[in-house]
Amino acid sequence: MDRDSMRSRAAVAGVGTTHFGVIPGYTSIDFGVWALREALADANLSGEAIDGLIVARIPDNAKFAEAAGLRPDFSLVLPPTGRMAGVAVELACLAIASGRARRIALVYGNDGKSAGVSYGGSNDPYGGGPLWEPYGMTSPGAFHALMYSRYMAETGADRSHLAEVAVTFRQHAGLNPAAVMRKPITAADHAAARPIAAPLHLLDYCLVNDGGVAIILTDAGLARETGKAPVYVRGCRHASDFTQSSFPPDDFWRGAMARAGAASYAEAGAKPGDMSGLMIYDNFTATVLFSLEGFGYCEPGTAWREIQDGRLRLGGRWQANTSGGHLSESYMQGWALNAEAVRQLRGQATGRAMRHPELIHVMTAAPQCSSIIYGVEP
Amino acid sequence: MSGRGVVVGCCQFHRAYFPSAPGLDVPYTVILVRLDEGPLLYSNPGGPAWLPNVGAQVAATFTEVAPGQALVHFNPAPRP
Repeated sequence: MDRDSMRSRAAVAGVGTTHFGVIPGYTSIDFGVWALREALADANLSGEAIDGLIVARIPDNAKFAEAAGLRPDFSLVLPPTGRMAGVAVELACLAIASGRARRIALVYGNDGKSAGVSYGGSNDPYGGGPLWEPYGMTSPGAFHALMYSRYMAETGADRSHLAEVAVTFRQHAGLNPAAVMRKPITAADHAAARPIAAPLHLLDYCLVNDGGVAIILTDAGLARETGKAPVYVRGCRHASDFTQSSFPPDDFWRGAMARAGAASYAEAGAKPGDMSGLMIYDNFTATVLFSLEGFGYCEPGTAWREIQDGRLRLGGRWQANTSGGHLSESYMQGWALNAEAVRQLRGQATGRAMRHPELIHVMTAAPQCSSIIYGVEP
Repeated sequence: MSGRGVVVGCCQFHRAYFPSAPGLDVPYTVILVRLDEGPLLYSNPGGPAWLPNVGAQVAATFTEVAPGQALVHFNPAPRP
């Protein structure tokens, strides 16, 4: 193996999740402490063993460490935007591979639902300003609706082709007791859902809810101390496209996804056809199509057709988001998808288990794209 | 700037995010226009009768929304 390679230098020792939904009375720090407690128990570690800390959406790493009783030397806070989970995992792997830390807690807490967070309007930090507001442009949903409108014009897809994504992930959520939205939906429900920013309607949107997720990454040499089978980070990379990022990207972020994908595939020694399952950042149904194309699962402009045979469903060739994802399990901004990947690879996804998964690809399409490949073998 | 361009995105808002803003009673339409010279702009159709589509060729018009305050809107302007 290339001595400089990051392949499997780090492994997941434990994951923890809180309950998801409307959970008043907890701050993001409280959710983080809860999730971390679960992750430490899962990893069979005490807080004293943790020498690195990365928090996200939790506003203050010092306050969090104080609340959780951690003494990390390596410590930082990431911004509360989505898509930082992949960046956090890559940073932690870099820190571990360089020897700066041996056991890093990655902690995410989100009190958005109880805090009354809504998207769109003058107070939304997403976009905004004189190029947006006078024309009524606002919200991540509208941004992705504009992208999908162009996708439809270029490919021949229409709104109905998104139903398969929404219906599939809801079906998966029905198998996951932790999921917030478990009632099955049909393509007809998707068609009849009220429009928010057409062509996207309600069932094309992720949820807004409370909860937290923690992941403990350790030096791979320490991974077996947990007593459980380690899950290795076989490859990870993020790549960005911030030029003109106030506008929908001309290339649907395909350039950044291709760079992140190629680097992580090379590191992992794997390609899309080798993946047992997929965890796709589904802030909106349409993003799933952009991701499949950008990370090389199919040609640009074809994902809307490819998925109609049910291949995203549990047992399918591209079985994806077996927890229900952001659309139906919980909007944990990518974090819970990482936890689900680990649980699947450890055979702990009871009731929704993939058959003997070996490699799972966690991917994010956004101005900051990321690709993480987890595996049961180093 | 020629004021000419093409619609590269189109979205209809059904939620009133800016309830007091003039001209933004729901449903309203936001278009993304690529000007011939390259820049991108968010905008709205210049008149309510026009339902824009991606690929439509357009030309800019100025709409006065308050005394001394104008917005750039676009109307269809097919080219031969």
